[in-house]
Amino acid sequence: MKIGIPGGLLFSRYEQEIRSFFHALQQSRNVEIEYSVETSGEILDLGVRFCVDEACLPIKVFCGHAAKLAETCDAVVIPRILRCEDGSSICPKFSGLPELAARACQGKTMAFTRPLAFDRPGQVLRKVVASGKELGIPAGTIRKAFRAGVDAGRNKAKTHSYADGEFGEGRLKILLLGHPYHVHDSFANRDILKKLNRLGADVIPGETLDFKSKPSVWDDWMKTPYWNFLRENCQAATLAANGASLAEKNRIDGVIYLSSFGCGTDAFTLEFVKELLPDIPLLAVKLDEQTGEAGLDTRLEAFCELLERRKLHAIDISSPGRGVSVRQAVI
Amino acid sequence: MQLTFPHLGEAYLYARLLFKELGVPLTIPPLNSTASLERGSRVSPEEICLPFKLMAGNLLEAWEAGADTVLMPATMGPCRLGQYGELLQRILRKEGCRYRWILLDSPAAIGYRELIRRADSVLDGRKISGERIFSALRQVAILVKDFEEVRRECRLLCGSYRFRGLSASIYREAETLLKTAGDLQSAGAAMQEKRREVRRIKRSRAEETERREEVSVLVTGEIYSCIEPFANHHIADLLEQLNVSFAITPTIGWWIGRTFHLPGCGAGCKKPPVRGGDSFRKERIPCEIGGYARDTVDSVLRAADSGFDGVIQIFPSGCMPEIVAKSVFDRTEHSREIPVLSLIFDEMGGEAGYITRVEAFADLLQRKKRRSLQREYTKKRGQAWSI
Repeated sequence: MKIGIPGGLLFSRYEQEIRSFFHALQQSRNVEIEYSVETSGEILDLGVRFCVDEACLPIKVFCGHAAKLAETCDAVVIPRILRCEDGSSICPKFSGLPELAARACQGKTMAFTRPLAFDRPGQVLRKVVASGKELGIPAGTIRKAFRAGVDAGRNKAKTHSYADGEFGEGRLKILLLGHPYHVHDSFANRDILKKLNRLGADVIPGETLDFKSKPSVWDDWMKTPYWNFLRENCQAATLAANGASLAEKNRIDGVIYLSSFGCGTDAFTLEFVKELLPDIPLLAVKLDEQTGEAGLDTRLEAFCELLERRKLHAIDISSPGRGVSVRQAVI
Repeated sequence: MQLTFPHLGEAYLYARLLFKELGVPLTIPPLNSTASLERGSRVSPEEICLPFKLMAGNLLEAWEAGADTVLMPATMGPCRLGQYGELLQRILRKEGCRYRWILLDSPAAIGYRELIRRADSVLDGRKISGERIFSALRQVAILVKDFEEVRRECRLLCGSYRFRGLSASIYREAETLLKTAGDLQSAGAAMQEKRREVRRIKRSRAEETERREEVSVLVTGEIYSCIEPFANHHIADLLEQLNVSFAITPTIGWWIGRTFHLPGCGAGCKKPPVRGGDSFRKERIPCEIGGYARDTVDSVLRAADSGFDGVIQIFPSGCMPEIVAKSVFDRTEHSREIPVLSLIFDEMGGEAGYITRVEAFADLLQRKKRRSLQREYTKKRGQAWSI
């Protein structure tokens, strides 16, 4: 039997775990594994064709991967994630992924669709075992593979921490916020990292900030927010704003937020991030299935030029909602 | 303290009677209108859903009318509603409205003790006996149930040539009664009278023997859009004009029953048992995904068996749970042979597009129904028929 594993969505975050789980499965059973990780124009076209119109770009990309795999595989893995490790949820579309991807699988089996709540590891194992049984894989094999996956996750190389990183002298430092599937998918984000590098900027993904010093963002909120990406991005924005954990030379010049058109959670996240960054310029980039790049290029150029000028002339650029305040108008 | 709350359909009518009974001062914001929507959209983020913009508009206007405390239901689900309070508070503070907030999360998220503590702060130190509060809440629950029964039966008669005039007038009377009632007791008693009238009509309707050609449509989808007529461009009035029998779920009564499992307000408030056997269980969404998407899908799966000819799904642009539900309908349209029309609303006020689509949908259903009836008739008589 051949099982397909689509990339996209949270694949980049759990890549080590997923790969070692299926590697272990492959070794002990008569199972073939195929990955579809790199997004391309063909994948996106497939996704647009098979997915419901109103879905956002990352869901369409995921459906594209699933549709591509369905052509060659007997089963496609469509996970259903209810909650993350810290008990936060992601988005209703993650909990309803098998519904959204059903058409893309074109009648092939959808595997591992049982609901997973990562804040209850014991339950996750039970659900994975039950899902494996549906494919005819014995429980013992699944358990062993699951352990291999968990171990791989534990030994995951700690992401390079930004606080003690070295950056090119005189280059702009831009913090890239957003969902991991936008930051890591160079097709979906039109290779924004390379574009920015070419414009003389070093890019710092939000995940690499030092989260050990957990900044308290929502102590004075009415309730703890329940979306994972809202929590993460607000924490990263706070770290960037107060700069306490960063060395002077590593101060962040600007922030770019990668979002997708129609993203329900980002409608909120962007507002909160804006408020948390009173003194750092913010550019919100919305991605959709249009692939024209000129508009994005122009805006990135303008943003980088603005940051350069701000650095050179020490102009205080007003943050949203505060009106124009120019400290030193020498341009 | 002057209490207010964002509009949710006819909820303000119940709230008026309830808080009058308890003696809590209440400011009802002006009804939703294009002007209030515009004010709300001006201060809201661009991509937020329509209910948020309407609520922001309501609360801006309520502040001007003298309110200072907001009572708002919330959730802890992945749907956006639960996060509304936080953002509304910030946005309104920027506009100079410094409200005190009372969030009524579902008891499943915060527990009954905390819910009661928060609800208690509504009384603002007034000493009201628990018995009196309970009895007032119970009366409201019964009033909601009775009014919704009247409305449901009247709407299901919209397509009947014989009864639609009568049912429409009863419904209008019930609505006026709710708007003008002096207190909870008199409203409850009068509503029971209306309920009896409707049941009488229902009985005489059941005795009819002629075949029925009218179509009936189930309107379902996102809860705010279903309950608030302004948010769905008054789809109920449109369907009534088209002489289509219809039902709209979810309703306020449904929400109350589902959230609180209130004792003493009858079987109508209990969670409906899952019926429909294996195929039903296979096709529904296997777990809660936020919002009421699961219930939307369930009601569509049951629609054909409940005698509906078609379904109209309504939701505000960008509603995450309903997008998932919509993708399920691709499949159910074939497996259950029930057509689904999805209407998506945003702050655009143009109605011609919606009217055309609903009209066309009703025509399609009417034609489909007539043909199937004729086919049945032909089979029975064994003679050729042409349309």
